[in-house]
This record gives sequence, structure tokens and C-alpha cells, in this order.
Amino acid sequence: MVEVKIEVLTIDSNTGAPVVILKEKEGDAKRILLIWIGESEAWAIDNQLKNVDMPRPMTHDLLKNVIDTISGKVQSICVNAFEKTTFYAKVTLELNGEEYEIDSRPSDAFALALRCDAPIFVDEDVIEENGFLEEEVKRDKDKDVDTKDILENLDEDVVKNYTV
Amino acid sequence: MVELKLASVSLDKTSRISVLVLEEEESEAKRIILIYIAEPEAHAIDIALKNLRMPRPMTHDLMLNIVERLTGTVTAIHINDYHGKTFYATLKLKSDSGEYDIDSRPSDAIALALRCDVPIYIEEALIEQHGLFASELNENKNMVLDLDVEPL
Repeated sequence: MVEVKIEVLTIDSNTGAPVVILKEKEGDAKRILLIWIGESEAWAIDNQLKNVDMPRPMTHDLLKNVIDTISGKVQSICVNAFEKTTFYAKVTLELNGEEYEIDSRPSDAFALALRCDAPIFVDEDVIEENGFLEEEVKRDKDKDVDTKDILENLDEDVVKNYTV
Repeated sequence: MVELKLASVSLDKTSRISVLVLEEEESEAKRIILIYIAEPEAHAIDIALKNLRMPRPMTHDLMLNIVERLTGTVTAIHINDYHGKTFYATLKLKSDSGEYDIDSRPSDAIALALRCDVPIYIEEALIEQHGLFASELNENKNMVLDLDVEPL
């Protein structure tokens, strides 16, 4: 497992869908992984990234409150599989010294991890197969591109693999 | 405390905002409560009402899976307050360590209640104040779509 961070949450201008760009935390050559997500989960992630204060608990705030209330703890989340065009994740929880793993969409897992300050991991196989170095996929190899603009500069064939 | 049943989730024609139509479970002249909610939660409720099977767990499914894995159970939800045009709700939760009340938007609470088949209650004073009689709406529940209710 490799630890990643949410580098950017952006909108894919081709599909209009939100995309989370994850980037490896450690290492010289940091791989990135793109995960397309749903709109409402994107809001949940965005609100937390920007520390927006909402008047009422949003769904993932409620989820965190529920876990806290029953004295559970979110230890980490991990993107652990990829099938067809879908990434899978699991949330690892701890309660009374016991560990529990729960199947989740990556988007929900990210929204929760950000609220609980839990680390985000990706399975080595998953990032090996689906991740890439920015230099590898840039259309213009000589141009420096900021990660947030990576989508516009990606090879179209790469994008095709991950979108429906 | 009065038990409510979710009659439908509709769209207010004028405001284009989703609205929950909750109906008194017991009693002959059933009072109705309208709660305006946000679109993602309306979608989550609609999925549960229609018993749709999704390929992946949606957010409220995840929430319920987590509660159950941590040996908790949702026992009921209470709509227990209203101010500033907003309804407030409480999630009643039970686990090995005790019983808890968790503050929630009614929409999230109801999305969860439908997934674990627990009763939805409202404070008598609230339904007294905000309840409408079916006759005030029309026999047809879809009439709510034409209601000129002040949106949130």
C-alpha cells in the first residue's frame, strides 16, 4: 500500500464530471491516480477541502458523528481494486481494539477520511496498473504542467479507460 | 410523539426543490408534513422507496453498513424541532455501549430509516403547528406539486 493525498479536485471539461487527482506522498517520482466521482460526493469533498462551515451536518458529517458517537475510529481508507471502469475502496475502522473493513465507493471514503484526518492509501497493484507519472502522459513533453491542469493535457486514451 | 409514514418524494413545480410528503400513520384525518430537502438526499430516499439495487453502496448504505458492523442499530428517527424554516431531526442509535441521540437533517435521517425499516416520529407540537390535512391538499397526493408552498 502506498499513501497518497488528494492533490486536486477538479472538473473534467470533456465529461463535466468531477475528478479526484491523487498523488503519491513519498518518493522522488510521484505517481498520480485519477478517480472520476459523483457530483454530490464531490461537494462533500470540496466542502471539507475548503473547510466550509455548513449550518447543518451534511451526510458525511453525520457519518463521522455516528462513528464518533459509538466510539469507533476511522483508521484509514484504501483504494484497493479496479474493475472495468470502477475503483473500489475500503474503510478501516477500529472499535474496542477490533478492526473492521467496510466496502465503500472511493468518493465516500475520501469524504470521510478528510473529516477524520485518516490517511488515504492505494493498493500497490492498483497504482502500478492505473497510476502514471505526469511526464509520461503529457501531450507536450516539454511543457511544464501544473497538476490541476493535468486533465487538459492528458492523452485521450488514458482518460477513456476510466470514464463510462 | 406521532408516527409518520413517507408517502412520497416529489418535486415542487414552482421552486424545483424536492419535497418529502410525510403522512400521519394512525388516525382518520391524516395530517401531512412537507419537508423540503436537497437533491442528493432526495435521490437517496427515492432509491430506497423504489427498492432499487445499486451496483455500489451509496452513502447512506455505507452509513448503515458501518453502524451495523460496529454492532450498532438505528432504533428510530425523531423530527423534533423547527426554526428558521428548517426542520431538525435526531437519529436514535443503540450500541453495546449505550443509547445515543445524534443530530441530523431530516433528509439523511429518513434516507437511513428507510434502509433499516425503523419508525419515523414527529413531535406532536410540530405536527400541530406545521401539519396540513389531506383535504387541504387534495385527494391526489400529486397535488402537492401544485402547492404554492413557500420554499426554503
